[in-house]
Amino acid sequence: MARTDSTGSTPDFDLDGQAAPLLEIDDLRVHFKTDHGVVKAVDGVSWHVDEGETLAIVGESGSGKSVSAMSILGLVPTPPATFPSGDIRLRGRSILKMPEKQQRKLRGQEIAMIFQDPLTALNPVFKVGDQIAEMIRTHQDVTKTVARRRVLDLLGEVGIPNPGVRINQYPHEFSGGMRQRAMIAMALANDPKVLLADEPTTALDVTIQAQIMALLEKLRQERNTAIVLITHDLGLVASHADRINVMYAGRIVEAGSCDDVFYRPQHAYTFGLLSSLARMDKQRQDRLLPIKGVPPSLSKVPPGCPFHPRCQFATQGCVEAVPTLETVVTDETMNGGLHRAACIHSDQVEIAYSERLAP
Amino acid sequence: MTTPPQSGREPDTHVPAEALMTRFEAPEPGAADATDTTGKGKKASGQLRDIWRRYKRNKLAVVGLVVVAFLMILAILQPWITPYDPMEQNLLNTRKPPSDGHWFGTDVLGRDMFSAIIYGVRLAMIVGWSVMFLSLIVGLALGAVAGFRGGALDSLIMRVTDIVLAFPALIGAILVVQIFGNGIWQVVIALAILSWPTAARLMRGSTLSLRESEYVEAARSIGASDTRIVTRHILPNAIAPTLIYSFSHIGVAVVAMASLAFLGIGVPPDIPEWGTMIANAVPSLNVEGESHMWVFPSLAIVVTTLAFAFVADGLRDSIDPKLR
Amino acid sequence: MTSPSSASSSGGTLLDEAPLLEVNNLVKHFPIRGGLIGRRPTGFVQAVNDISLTVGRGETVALVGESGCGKSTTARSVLRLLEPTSGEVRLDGVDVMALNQRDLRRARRDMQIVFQDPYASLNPRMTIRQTLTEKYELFGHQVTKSTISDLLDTVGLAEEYADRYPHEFSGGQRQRIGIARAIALNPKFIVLDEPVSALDVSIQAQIINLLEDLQDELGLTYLFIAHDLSVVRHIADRVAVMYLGSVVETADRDELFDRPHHPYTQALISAVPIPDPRVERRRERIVLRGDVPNPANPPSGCRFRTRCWKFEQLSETDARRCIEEPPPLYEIDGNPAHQASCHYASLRDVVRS
Ligand SMILES: Nc1ncnc2c1ncn2[C@@H]1O[C@H](COP(=O)(O)OP(=O)(O)OP(=O)(O)O)[C@@H](O)[C@H]1O
Ligand SMILES: Nc1ncnc2c1ncn2[C@@H]1O[C@H](COP(=O)(O)OP(=O)(O)OP(=O)(O)O)[C@@H](O)[C@H]1O
Ligand code: SF4
Ligand SMILES: [Mg+2]
Ligand SMILES: [Mg+2]
Repeated sequence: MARTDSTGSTPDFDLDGQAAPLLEIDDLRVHFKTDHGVVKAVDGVSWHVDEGETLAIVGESGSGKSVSAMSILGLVPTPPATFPSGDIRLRGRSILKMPEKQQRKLRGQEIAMIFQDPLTALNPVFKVGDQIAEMIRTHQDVTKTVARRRVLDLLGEVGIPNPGVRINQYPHEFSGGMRQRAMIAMALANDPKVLLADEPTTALDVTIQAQIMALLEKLRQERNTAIVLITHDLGLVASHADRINVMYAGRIVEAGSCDDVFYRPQHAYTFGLLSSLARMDKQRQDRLLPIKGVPPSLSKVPPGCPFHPRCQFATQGCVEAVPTLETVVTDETMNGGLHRAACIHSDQVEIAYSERLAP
Repeated sequence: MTTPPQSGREPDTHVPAEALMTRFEAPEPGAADATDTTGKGKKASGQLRDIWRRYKRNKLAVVGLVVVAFLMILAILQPWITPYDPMEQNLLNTRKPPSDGHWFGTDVLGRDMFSAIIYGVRLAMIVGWSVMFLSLIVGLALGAVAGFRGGALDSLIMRVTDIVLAFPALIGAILVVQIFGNGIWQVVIALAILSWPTAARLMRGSTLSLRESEYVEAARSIGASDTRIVTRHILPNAIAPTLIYSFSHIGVAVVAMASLAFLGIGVPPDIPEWGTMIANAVPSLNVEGESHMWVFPSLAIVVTTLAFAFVADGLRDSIDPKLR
Repeated sequence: MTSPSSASSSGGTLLDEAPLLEVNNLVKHFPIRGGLIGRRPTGFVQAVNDISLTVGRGETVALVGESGCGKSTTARSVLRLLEPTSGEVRLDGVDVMALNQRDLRRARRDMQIVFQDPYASLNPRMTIRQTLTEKYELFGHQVTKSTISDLLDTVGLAEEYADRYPHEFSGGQRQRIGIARAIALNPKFIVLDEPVSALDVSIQAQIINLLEDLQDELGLTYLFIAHDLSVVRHIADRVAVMYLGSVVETADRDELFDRPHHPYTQALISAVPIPDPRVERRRERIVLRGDVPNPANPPSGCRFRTRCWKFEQLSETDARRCIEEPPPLYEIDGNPAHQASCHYASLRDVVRS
């Protein structure tokens, strides 16, 4: 295994000659000014997603997953937020440099978001059908009847039984899974190219989660939608992601194809995360192997590698400088994915992990 | 006044997609500190300090607090700082504009206005705070019982509050004073009777939502009795909205007393009271050189009410940021 | 409240030893009151419907199932934090249902609970020391300086935390405090109501290990409520699967995961994604249709039939049985420890394929 130096400080996904990715965020920083200092919720994050692809973003609570997604839709309040750097590009065109009106048009039409709690997106005093129709009519110049017919189609498509009845009901008359479906229908109203799914199933039961994920999978295949799946459930990631970004304390610490990250983790945090999991398909391990300590407060991120206080591999070198995301070249390149990690002991991590997997 | 949280469970607040920014709350102050796990020292005073830190941010509230403190000192020291006996009449020296001898001038009976205003401060503080304590105690007790016990007792207490609240406040006060007769303590009782129902309803609301909370269940699970649960676990957590309401009501009580006095009801007319003073000044309203007779008492009322309102506002934001 | 058997319990596990907790035919119905003034219930939420459970000494029994299936209600009724509608609960020989309020408060020393939400289960205006001391006081115990520091040490917290308020702690730390409160004064039995669901993955493992260590050291018996089956496979000795207020399958841990027989158990297990991409690619998911029915108006016969994948495949005559006849808990392959309430129970491997 060898390590190649990345060229330049900002990682660049645009491999020469290739078309610009569908959605790309570049060196995004979102900081919040609070009483307790500056919270660096997102601190230099870059990723991209292409048509028909599922990108998973995993990480601990408060690691900046939601904030990075919401910045794409302009849903982060300023103040308290500031954006010291960063660009967001849709098909190579910078969203942030567009006029306000055009931005708003893109958001909702080209990029849509589904949230963990559907009640934050559905207004309790309006009928579900009317809300979805409204969503269609703000972006498309169609008559009420056309919009309504489209809503009926959408409700059927997301698997809501009896669309003709449900269209006239209020959100509180829907069950949790049904509301989530309604929100997905709303997100799909304008046939977006990118779907940001922020913990779409965390509040739901596993059997309902399976329904919703099957629905998202179907959309991806039929409409070639790009899905950004934000979650902390590694099982969900294993079964649905093409590529994975692992976030810790506002930064991406590891990125790679699903198999690379699961079978060849290069960052000590990813290693810890994977090792700490209880497995339903295995006979009982003696003990789980937790990561010690707790995640840092984002207003007081430790110097050097933010993970070093909890890391079993940490040395003095980890404290001195912030490791950059470097490309990892493994002997067997898996799925052709670009595997990168921000860890100076990634070779040790890989060895330790393969030893754990061995028996 | 904020309405009491009726059911803590139901996520009934709706946030439109466009305004999702409100979904973000400022991170909890302490949780951040706890992550530097070595955490030495940092004692229990943390909560008070946090409250004070948030309070300080509201400049008006700080001004209000200074004024309230100043009024309290005036009220306590009144006998020593008034240059004249506030009751002493001097019929040879009436309606005189402010001068070196009489800073605020003199009134229709030749009493020193400055001394009278200061005496009015004392009166306002006594009445304001007494009304607050009375209505707070009654409201807390009845509200907690109604919320915790529920059932018929709850219905009864709530119907009584309905009836009291249905009365227009001033008419209610006039009625009560007419029944008990004039006098300072009669005014206090009348105003307390009118203000406890709101306190009780606030208290009932917070008690109701806390009664179902997990930590109350936790207390029950370690064998705590009902009395203990109410006094140790529910009261301290439910009290904030009620306390803030009662505090903001001090200013209201002062205005109410003055209004009654202006109508010649409540505080006996020979006692220097701001409302009475203004009433006495009515014939001088348009007389040149006599405006001091209504300006100073009016100013006193405005300053007092505003100061208490500012403090209550600051408390609301700082004690429990969630109440906003 | 001590049982007569406690004197002899030092002599290791006796084969015929009575279980620590015995629950028989537990029922809890919540009245639904409609209208504004209406005091008469218009119906009942059948939250828990005739549940029987036994938990042996030192054992961990897991109660799993979807949200609203009645797990918490079962646990709270067992502890009499809710008054059950009917049923029998015996903890170490003591008839819990027969206790009066005063004796019940005293009996709580032996039966404790750890709550799901570490943010809601601690009084925000009491320091950790006050919270923990309260329990000792309630049972008339002297609290010395070392009492609290020893207790905190047991759950892996430093003593200097004692005088802080809950909001100064992270979720995992708060959960440790909740556990400390539960294990103080050595209870026999602890209900763990989703103790790790609200925590980050990396913190969950810390708490699970702590719970296991405490069980070994203090000989605790757990009723572990969870919806995360991976954690259940790790911590439980036996598992009871609930659906709509009833237990539909119960078995020893490995038996349940490797040889599930009830269609619901199978669907539940198959729906849990496994953090292993290769395994996931192989696995087939049973996707159930629709939502859980309203517990105030459950389906006739088998309560699961409206979502059952097997029911859909049955011939009309066979299916009639599911509609008309509530399935009892059948013994599976003559193994009394493995029971499933399905007329057509049969094995299906859903963990690995
Ligand atoms: N408006 C705000 N003001 C201050 N800090 C904020 C604000 N919004 C978010 N934060 C902070 O930003 C950090 C990242 O938050 P974010 O919601 O992105 O986390 P997350 O990774 O989505 O976590 P979770 O898994 O809990 O959803 C957190 O520490 C949070 O406290
Ligand atoms: N106090 C109550 N009054 C009326 N119905 C209730 C009450 N508590 C619970 N229920 C109902 O009883 C049923 C079982 O609830 P319970 O809380 O036991 O479920 P659970 O299995 O613990 O679910 P979760 O996984 O969401 O905690 C639900 O339908 C619930 O709505
Ligand atoms: S009894 Fe019938 S409906 Fe119920 S689980 Fe078995 S097959 Fe399905
Ligand atoms: Mg989030
Ligand atoms: Mg529950």
